[in-house]
Amino acid sequence: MMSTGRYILHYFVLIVMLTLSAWMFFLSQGNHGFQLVIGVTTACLYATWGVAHHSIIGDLHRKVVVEYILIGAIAIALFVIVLRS
Amino acid sequence: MRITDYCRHFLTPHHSNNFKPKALHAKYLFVYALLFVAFYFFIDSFHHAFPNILGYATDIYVQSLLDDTNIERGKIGLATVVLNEKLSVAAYKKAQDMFANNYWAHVSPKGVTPWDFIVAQGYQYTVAGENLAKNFTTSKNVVDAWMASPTHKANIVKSAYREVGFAVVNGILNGEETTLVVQMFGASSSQMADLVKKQPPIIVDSSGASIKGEATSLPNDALRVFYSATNKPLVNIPTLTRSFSLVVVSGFILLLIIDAWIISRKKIVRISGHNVAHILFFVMLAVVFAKILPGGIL
Repeated sequence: MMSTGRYILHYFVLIVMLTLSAWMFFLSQGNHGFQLVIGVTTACLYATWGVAHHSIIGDLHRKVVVEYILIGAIAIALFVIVLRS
Repeated sequence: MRITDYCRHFLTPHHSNNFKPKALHAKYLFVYALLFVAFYFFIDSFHHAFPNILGYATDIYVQSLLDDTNIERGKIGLATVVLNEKLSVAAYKKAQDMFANNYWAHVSPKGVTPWDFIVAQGYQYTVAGENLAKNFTTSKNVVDAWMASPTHKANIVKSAYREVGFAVVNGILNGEETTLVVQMFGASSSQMADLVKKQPPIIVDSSGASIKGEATSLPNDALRVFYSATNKPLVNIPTLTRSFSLVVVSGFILLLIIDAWIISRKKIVRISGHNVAHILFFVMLAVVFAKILPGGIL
């Protein structure tokens, strides 16, 4: 069982990652190509965070990996719709 | 299966769905991703077939661009810039050149710089600058995007500039309908002869190749403003895609909150990703989709 402190650390990393991504996204207003790169990178980082988090916790399962990858894929599809349409 | 049972099966954790809403099962997540890709291609195809129904709305006015530019300068106590005919013509020529030679850059593939366009109009500048924008919906969007970019903002709030020229031109760039906005700043030693405060518009046609509007009589017939305002399809693509994405993301957030609440209340243990993490991720998506500006700047 992982300690609460480790959970907080993991979520702190996630929040920092998402905040930085949003910040970079806003700095790139008007440059949809770069925003798409940021969006895809964020989705990949999120999936990686999920897999790493569950791996450290010790409850990593194939279903969990697939879930994070699909959530990331949905995010990428939405970024493409918004930035490329 | 009754509708209420189906909704419970689809939207809430229940023994019928292995205590995870069917809507969040991997198979369904995969289907959503495929549907979103299909939606993207549908928009693209429908837009090309029926541009008047599903297209890009444009509502950009030179006077608004000038006003918004001066509002930004006024916020930090700078003098206003005034519209200059030569700079406006230079901006229009630059837009025409981008359409004619199919490029989106400050320097053309042939090496022609913004300064060449300015000098060609007989404007002897001591300092000059150029901002470009394409495919924005409104004048405010354009200036907001420029102000969000440090380099473009530096042009708008540069104290040395005294005059500005604008061109708003519709045309085809890289095979796509495009609305270009060219903003050229300058300051010269002979500013006074060209200064005016307000000018009626001239409308530039959709090919960017000719001017349809009338050159309204101005002091000394000196000034023309290139102005292209309206393209109003039934459905504006940026509005549609942003709304669609926000609805999707909000739906996921709501679904995940309901799921998290039920599994917490019923103390259900299951193999799954963390809802809190997913919610944080979707909230970030909602924020960027809500704030994203259409169009590009250079």
